[in-house]
Formats: sequence, C-alpha cells, structure tokens
Amino acid sequence: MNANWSLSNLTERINMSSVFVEQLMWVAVGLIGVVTFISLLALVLVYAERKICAHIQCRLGPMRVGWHGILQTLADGIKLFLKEDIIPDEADRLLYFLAPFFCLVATLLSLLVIPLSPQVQIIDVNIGVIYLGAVSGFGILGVIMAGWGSNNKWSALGAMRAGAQMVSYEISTTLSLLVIVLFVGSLQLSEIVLSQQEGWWIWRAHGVGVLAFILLLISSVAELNRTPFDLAEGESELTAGFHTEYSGVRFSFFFLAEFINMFILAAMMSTFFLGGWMPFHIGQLTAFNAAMDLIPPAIWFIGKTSVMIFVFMWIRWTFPRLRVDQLMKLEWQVLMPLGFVNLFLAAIVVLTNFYFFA
Amino acid sequence: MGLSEDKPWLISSIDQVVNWSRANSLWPLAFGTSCCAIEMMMATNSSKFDLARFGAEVVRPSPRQADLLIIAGTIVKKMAPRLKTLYEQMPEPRYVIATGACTISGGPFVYNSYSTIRGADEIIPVDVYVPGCPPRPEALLYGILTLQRMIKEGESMAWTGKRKKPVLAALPPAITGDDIYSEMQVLLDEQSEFNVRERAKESTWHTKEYDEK
Amino acid sequence: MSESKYTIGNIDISTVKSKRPIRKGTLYNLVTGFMSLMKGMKITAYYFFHTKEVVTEQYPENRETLKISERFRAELKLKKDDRGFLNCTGCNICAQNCPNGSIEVIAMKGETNKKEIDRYIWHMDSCTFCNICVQVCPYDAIEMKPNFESSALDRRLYIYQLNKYAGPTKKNLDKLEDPADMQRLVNLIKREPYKGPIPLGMQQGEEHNFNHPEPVKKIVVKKETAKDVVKKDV
Repeated sequence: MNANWSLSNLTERINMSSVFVEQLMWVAVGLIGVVTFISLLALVLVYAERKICAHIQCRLGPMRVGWHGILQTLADGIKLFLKEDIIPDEADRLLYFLAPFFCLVATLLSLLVIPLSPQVQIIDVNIGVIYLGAVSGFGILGVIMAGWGSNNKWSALGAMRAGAQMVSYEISTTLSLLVIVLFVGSLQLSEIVLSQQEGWWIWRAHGVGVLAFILLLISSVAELNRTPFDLAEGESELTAGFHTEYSGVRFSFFFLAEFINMFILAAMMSTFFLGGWMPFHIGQLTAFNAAMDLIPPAIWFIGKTSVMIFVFMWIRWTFPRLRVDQLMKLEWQVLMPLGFVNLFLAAIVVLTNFYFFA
Repeated sequence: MGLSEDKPWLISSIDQVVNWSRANSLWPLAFGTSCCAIEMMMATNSSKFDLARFGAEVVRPSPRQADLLIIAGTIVKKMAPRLKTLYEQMPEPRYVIATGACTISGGPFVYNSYSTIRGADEIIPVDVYVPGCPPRPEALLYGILTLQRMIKEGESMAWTGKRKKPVLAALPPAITGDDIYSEMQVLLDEQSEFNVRERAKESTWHTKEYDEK
Repeated sequence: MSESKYTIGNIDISTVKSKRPIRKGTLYNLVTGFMSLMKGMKITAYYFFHTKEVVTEQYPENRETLKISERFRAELKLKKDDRGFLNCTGCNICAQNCPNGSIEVIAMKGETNKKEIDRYIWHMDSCTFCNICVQVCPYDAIEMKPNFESSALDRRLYIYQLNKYAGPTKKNLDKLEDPADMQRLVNLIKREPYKGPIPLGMQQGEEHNFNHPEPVKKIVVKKETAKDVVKKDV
C-alpha cells in the first residue's frame, strides 16, 4: 500500500518528475507564506501611517480602539469585508472584476524575489532587476482597467493620468537601478546584496550612488501615486480617481496594494543601496563588525526598510501636491535627463575603478 | 429593555464582533453645506478635537467608500435630490448624523423660508440628531459616541436592514428616566424600531426623477 | 522716464516700473529648491519627535477637567431659587421675540388673579440658541446653560416643558401670608391635556440613572433637601 502511494509512484503515474512536484510544493508554501506576510504587513503599515501622520500634525491618531489604537486596522478590515458589494449598472464587468486582482497580483509577484535574509528568498531569479520592472507593469494595467471599467468619466480621466504617471516614472526607477547593476555586474538580487559586503553602495558608489538614490526616492514616491504626486487620486481634484466606484472588498484590495507596493519599493531601495540584509561594517574594526554581526540579518533588513517607509510617510505629510503638468514636466525634463547623465557617469566610474574599497 | 431579544449564542457573539468593527471604523463622507461644516471640519480634521481617535479620520470623497454621512449645513431644495442620490450611492450598513438645527427641523428657516427643507429626515432616514447652531465639536463627538452606542446595541445579523434604536439610552441631558411616564416608555420602545430601507423609500420628498419612476 | 511711450498729455501712465524678477540658472534653482524641501522636512520631523507639541483634547476622557465658558449657550433653563420657585409670569414676551417660534408659553389665571405660567414649552430641535429670549425677558426668568451633550436618537424627544409646577412667581408666593397657601397653590394643578407634541419634563440637579455610556456631569449640582417646600413634581 505504501509503495503504491509514495510520491515517486504518484508522479510516475501522472508522468511528472518528482523534483518538479517538490518544487511546486515549495512554491505553494512560499505563496501561502507571502499571503500571510501581506496581511500582517498591511495591519502594521496602515496603523503606522495613521499614527505617524497624526504625530506630524500635532495630534494623536487612533486611540480608542485597542491600547492606543492597535486594533484599528482590524476593525477597518472586518468592516470593509462586510460591506455591500455594488457593481455599477453599465460597467464593463470583466474589467471591473479583474482590476483589483491585477493590482494585487503585481505586488504578490514582486514580493517573491525580495531577499529578506540569506536563507529567506522565495525565488531567486537570475534576471531579478528586469523581472521587477516587468511585473510592476501589471499594477499599471490594473489601474487603467479600473478606470475604464467603472463607466464613469472621472474615473477614466483619473486612470489615464495615473497610468501615464506610473509609466513615466518607471523609466527613472529603472535608470537608477541600472547604476547599481553596472557596479555589481549581475542582475541577480542575491548577488547584489552579497556584493555589498565591504560596504553599502550608497557610499561606495559615491556621488553617483547618492544621486541615484535620490532619483530612486523621488520616482518611487511618484510610482506609488502618493503625495506629492497623487493627483490621480487626489481627493479634491477627482473624487478618489480611478477607484471611485469600488466599495468593500474590492476597494480594500486597492488600498492593500498601495501599501504593499510601498513596502516593496522601500525593500528595493534598501536592497540596492543600503545593503539588503548586510550588517553595517566599518573597514577593519573587527570588534565593531563582530558586534554588528550579532544582530540577525532579517532584523537588519526590516530595520532598513522601516526607515525607508518612514521617509516615504514623512515626505507625504510635508509637501503639497503637484499639478499634473508639473508632474510630467518633472519627469521628462528633469529626472530622465539626470538619470541618463548619471548612468553615463556611473559607467565612467566603473570603468576607471574610481570607487572606494575596491 | 425591549431590545435584547433572545438570540442564539452564536449570532450574538458574531454580532458583537461585527458591530464592534462597524462602530469603530466609521468613514465619513466629505459633505458640508454651510456653517455647521466649519464645526464639522474642526471636529474631524483639526488637531484639537480629533476624530481620528475614534477611528473615523479617513474622510473619503466618494460615497461608494464611505459609510457615515454627517449632514452638516442647511439643505436647500436644490440640494435635496443630490443628497438623496448620495445617500443611495452609499453601500449598505450606512448611518446618518444630522448636525445642527437646520437639519433637524429647519432651524432658523423653519418659520418662513421659500428654499429650505424642514429637516433632513424629510428625505433620508436619520439616525442621530445633534442640536446646536452650530454644535460644538465636542457635541458632535458626543453624537458619534451615541451612534456607536446605537450600532453596538441596536443592530444584528438576525434582523438586517432594521435598526432598533435604544432611544432611552441616549436622552438629552435635560431628561431623566423618571420624567418619562411609563406609557411613554412603552411607546418609545415600540416605535423605536424602524426599517431603514422602507423608510428610505417612503420619504415624502418628491423629486422629478423620483416621480418619474 | 521722460521718454516713456505711454502718456496721456503730460502724465506718464506706463505701469511697467517695477523691477523684473531676477532669474537664476537651473543649477541654482535645483540646489536652493532642494534645500527648501529639506527645511520643510526638518520642521515636520521636529513636530514628529516632540510629542509635547500635541494639542489634542481627548474629549470623552477629559470630561472631568473640561472647562466650558459659563456664557456658552447650549440649553435653556428656567431660573429657580433653592425652594424651586420660578420667576416666570407667563407674559409671552420671549415667545413673541423668538425668531423662529421655538418657545410656546401657555398661561393661565390662577387664584391670585394674576397671570401665571401653566406650561413653558421649548423646542430644542429648531432653537438656534441666539439668546434673544434671555435678553428680552423682563423678569429675569430664563437663562442659557453650557450643557452641550444633547444628541438624541429620536426627534420627538426634543420638545421640552421647562417648568416643574404651574403657579405664581416667587415674588407673589412670598407675598402670601399663610405658608400653607404656598403649598396649595404650587401643588394644585389641574390642566387639560396638552394637545401638541409629547411634552417631557425636566429635572435639575440629579444624576442620570440609566446606563449612559459616559456619566453626565452636571455643571450645576444642587441636591434638594428634605426641608424644601416643593417636594412633589407635577
């Protein structure tokens, strides 16, 4: 009996190799883990956003729901889950249904390749950078589908603006990431993290690295449709933009996708420029380096990503909004030329070996 | 009193969780017509009286994503059909707070006005009334506390769409239970249950679109 | 300036006399722009890290220490002395002066052959708290109190009867020689039933005895002792 139903027998019967099935099982485990991770992350991030925004504005955030409002996101989630589901009358049903899933699937796929620690990286694609750029296109598609499928001219307008903005700022993002790829020489994300053993790229690739970091920061904020670049969902311009007609669970998918995207971009920034899970080493101070090594690498990664998320929220609650033409002008006339010049300079720096701790 | 009927244990425990979550995460719709809107802005968005403490800081501009409609300001006859449209666009567990004297009964315009309607409950069913002209931000916060009380006690999955208002639980401070005679008590208990959906349909306000249906 | 092209007669009307703004180069703009952004972020970070700048008054939790000005108008009350006697004679001046008719005064002619108050009805749902009634009252009979916690779930509860007894004013009661007369005049009420919306009485100085979410703290707390003449509420 046991011999008939073992894994190898099964796979022989189904004509699949057992190695493939085993890998498939690992991927399934990874997906379940990622989904759990997303839910927990959303809880923490939404609460953090409200508290940080409140303290920047000299007030207290949610205070009454749990101790100091910890259970606030849980209440929000349960309430959104139980709302009535409204589908507009003449909406394009297929697009209306699929749009939130596209946005969420984009974030899920991006989360699969981020290296959290030397052992935890779900899939290590050897074209990691290109994969990340390609998969964020799914999110843009979801936005445009949401706007068109709602049968609402203001949603369509907001979606067109949001789509144009996200597509434009992809360019700047990719240009900054390419700087680091030039330095590392490989597209694989784990290689990029391992190459920062002697020092993080933000100061190793001096000048060029700092400029690439700032460019990535600005274009990440724009990629996420956050203030100061959130004209597409700016509340006083187009009521809620492309997700005006969504309510309940569908809206919570968009909401979730925005926050998880923020985590992904912060993780990308910390992987490429701040060393990923690499601890902070200074040159030859072995005692200091050993002390830094005591902290587990996952904690390093989470710490760096949290600092970047705080910077995103800090930027959001400080600056006013840009108009849509100022937005596009910023990208095509300022950031993209700067990006190309930066890439060119980076190529020169790499070729002449003009960086520290070489 | 008359409101806690015998519900099975499972339904009442699910109700507790569901009502807790709905009461603690009310998302208001950004709707303000006149002077009461200033006080509502102070109550929701300022740093001194902060509605975010109650979890209600996410003021959504789109009615599809909001579930609390704080009517702040006079409702004129031109605005009335649009208010009804907005109310109908909100998804189902939806609550209405009528702020200020103009929305309770017409306020300063109740006597002699050609253009206002005498109270928002001519058009949409209202849950909580907050009197004042305009009410203090703290009075509006008290109104939201009253609404939370009503959600936690008066709604259940066993009777969806109906709301049993625990009217005697939120009395204006000038009244005590002693002053309400016993017949009045029974009357309020009986009449305090109302079906929100029926009530929304039977409003006496006739708009052109409404009449053509 | 004397060669300006734009003149009417001798008067020079050319308006372009102000200096043009000096435009700097792109690099200057970039760098100074960036520095100004950093300055903005510094201010925000200051407010984030200094939690003593928080100005929120946490309303339900700070009810014990909340100070509302005594002049804030949120509730109408008839003035009573410690025996519970009113000053109101039922002269109807406040009702005539109310801009939207939120006061209704029903007067009667009692045993003292003077006009007396029978019922004093106040509609809180249409009252705008403008204070005109308080200002025009010639007998100093009503006042506005700052008790603002008055939201209700049913609109019919907002019609109040503000007087506890129907009878003569304090001045007239003091003029009576026989103290037993006081009791009789004040307690003796025979009125026809009120035909308007349901009136409800009002009590002063007593804590709420139902399961209120937060205990209401009265601004005026005066317990009636056993020595009071007016014991029974009518």
